[in-house]
Amino acid sequence: MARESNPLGGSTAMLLMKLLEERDMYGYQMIEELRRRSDHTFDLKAGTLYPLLHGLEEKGWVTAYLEEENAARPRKYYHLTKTGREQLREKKEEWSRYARAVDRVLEGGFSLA
Amino acid sequence: MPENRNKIEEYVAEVCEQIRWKRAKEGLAMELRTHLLDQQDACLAEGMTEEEAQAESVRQMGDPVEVGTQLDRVHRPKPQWDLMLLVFGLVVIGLVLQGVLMMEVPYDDVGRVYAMRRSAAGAVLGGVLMLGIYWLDYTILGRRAPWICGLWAGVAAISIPFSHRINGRLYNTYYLLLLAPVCIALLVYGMRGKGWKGLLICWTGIGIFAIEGAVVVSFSMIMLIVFTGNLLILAAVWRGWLGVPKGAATGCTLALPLAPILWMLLNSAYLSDRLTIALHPELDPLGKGFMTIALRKLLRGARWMGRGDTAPWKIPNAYDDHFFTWVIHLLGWAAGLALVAALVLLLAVALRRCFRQKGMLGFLLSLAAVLTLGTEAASYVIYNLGFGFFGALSLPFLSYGGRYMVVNLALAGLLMSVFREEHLPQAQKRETPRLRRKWITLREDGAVVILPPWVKKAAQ
Repeated sequence: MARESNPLGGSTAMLLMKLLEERDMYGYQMIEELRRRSDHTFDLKAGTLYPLLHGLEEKGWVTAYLEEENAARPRKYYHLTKTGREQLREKKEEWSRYARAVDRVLEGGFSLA
Repeated sequence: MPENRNKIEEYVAEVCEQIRWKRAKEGLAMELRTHLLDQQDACLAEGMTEEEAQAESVRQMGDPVEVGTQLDRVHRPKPQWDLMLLVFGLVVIGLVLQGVLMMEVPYDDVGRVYAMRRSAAGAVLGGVLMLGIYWLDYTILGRRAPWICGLWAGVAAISIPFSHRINGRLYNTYYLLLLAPVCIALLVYGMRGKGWKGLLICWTGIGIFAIEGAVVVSFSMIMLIVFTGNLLILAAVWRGWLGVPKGAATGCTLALPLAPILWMLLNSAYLSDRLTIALHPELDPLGKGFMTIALRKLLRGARWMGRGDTAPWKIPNAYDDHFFTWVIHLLGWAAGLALVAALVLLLAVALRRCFRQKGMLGFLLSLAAVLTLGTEAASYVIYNLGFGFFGALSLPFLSYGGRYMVVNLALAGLLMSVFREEHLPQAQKRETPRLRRKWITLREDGAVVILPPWVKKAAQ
C-alpha cells in the first residue's frame, strides 16, 4: 500500500478541493487562484485540471452547474459536496501526517542504532 | 481573426477526436473552449497579439491527445448488463412458469396456444423495444417535456371510445395509463423554478390522469398515478427543483393523495365491496369474497417446497391475475419468495442508481419507472396473498399479459438508458433562487414593516 502512505499523488486533487471549500469556481478561476496563492509554484495545466475535476465529479465529491451570464461563454462551476468536504478533511490529516514524517527525517538526522 | 479562431477550434477538435463517446463531446468541448477563450483574453490584456495569445492559450492547455485520452477514460457509457441479464432471466422464468401453469389449469387447447403466443409475442416485442430505448438518447424527452405529457394524456383520452370493456374495464386506455408516471415526471421536469404555479400544474396533470384512471374503472390505476405522481413531486421539491419552500410544498403534496381516499369513503358501496373482499370474504363467499377465499385456501395448503395440499378448484385467470399464488401452490413458498427476492433486488439496484443521477431529467424519469414497476409488483403480491383491497396490476416481467410485458420492458429500457449515460458530462443551469415575497420585513433602522409585498415593490 505504498501509494496510500504517500499522499503526494492525490495532492493536486486536495488543493482543488481546498479552493472549492471556500466558494464555487470554474476551471480557469481555479488555475489562476492556485497560481496566485502558491506564488506561481503550482502552475497547473488545464489539460491536467479537467480530467481531475471530472474524476472528482464522478466520485460525487464535487458537482457542477452551468452559469450562462454570457451566452457565448457558458461557465461550468464546480461545487464541493458534503462527501467532498469529508474527503478533504481526511486528505488534509493524511497530508499533515506525511509532512511531519518528512520533517522529522530531514531535521532529526540521528538515531540510536 | 478567423485563423485565430481556428487554432482554438483545432485544439478542441483534436481533444474531441480522442473521445469515443460521441454524445460526451459537446459538453467537454464547451468547457474547454470557454477556458481557452478566457486564457486568450488574459494574454491579450498582457499585450500579446491575437495570434500569440492564441498560441499561448493552447500551449498552456497541454497536449490535446493526452488531455483527450484522459477525458475519454472518465466519460464512457456505462453498460447495464447486470440489469439487462436480470430482466432477461425474469422474462424467461416467467414464460416457463406460465407454460407450466397453463398445463395445470384446465383449459382448452386453442385458448392455451393463444395465451402462450400472446405472452411470447409480448416478450419479443417488449425486448426489442427495451433495447431500442436503451440505445436511444432519452434526453430528447426533456426538450418538450410538458407537451409530451399533455400529448400522452390526450392520446389516452382519445383511446377511451376505442377501448373495449373486459369485465367493465377499458383495456386499451388502461395500458396507455401505465406510462402516466413517466409523463408526470416529464411535467415536473418542465416546471423548473416555476414555484407554486408549477406545482399547481403538476397536480392538475396528476388529476387529469387520475380522472382517466377513473373512467377506465381501475382503482389500482388511480392509486398508481396519485401515489407515484406525488412521490415524484416530493423528490423534485426536495431537490429544490420547483423553487417552492420545502416544508409547505411537502405538506400540500402529502395531503393531496387523500382526495381519492376521501372519494372512496364517500362512495360507500365501493368501499364496502373492497372491505368485504379484503377483510371479510366469508360474508359473500360465492360472490365478491369468492376469489379471496379461494386464494387463501390455496396458500394455507401450500408447502415450503413442492406442491401444496389443497385441490385448486375453480380459480379462473390462474396465470393472469393469480400467477403468484399459483406458483406458491405448485412449487412452494421457497419458489414464490425467490421470485419476489429477484424482483426486489432488481428494483433496489435500480433505485440506488436512480439516486446517483446528477441530472434532474434522468433522476425523475428513472424514479418514475422504478416506482411504476414497484407499485405494480406490490399491488400484485399483496392481492395474491389474499388481501384484495386493491386489484392486482402485474408482476413485472413474470405474470401473463402481452401488453403488460411490452410496457414493463419499455420502462426497463428507459431505466437502463438513463443509467447508461450516467457519466455524460452534463451540467444544469443553476436554480436561480426565487425571491420570496415577504409580508414582514426588518428595516435597517430596526423597524418592523408589515406591508403586502406588491406595495413594497411599488415603493421601491
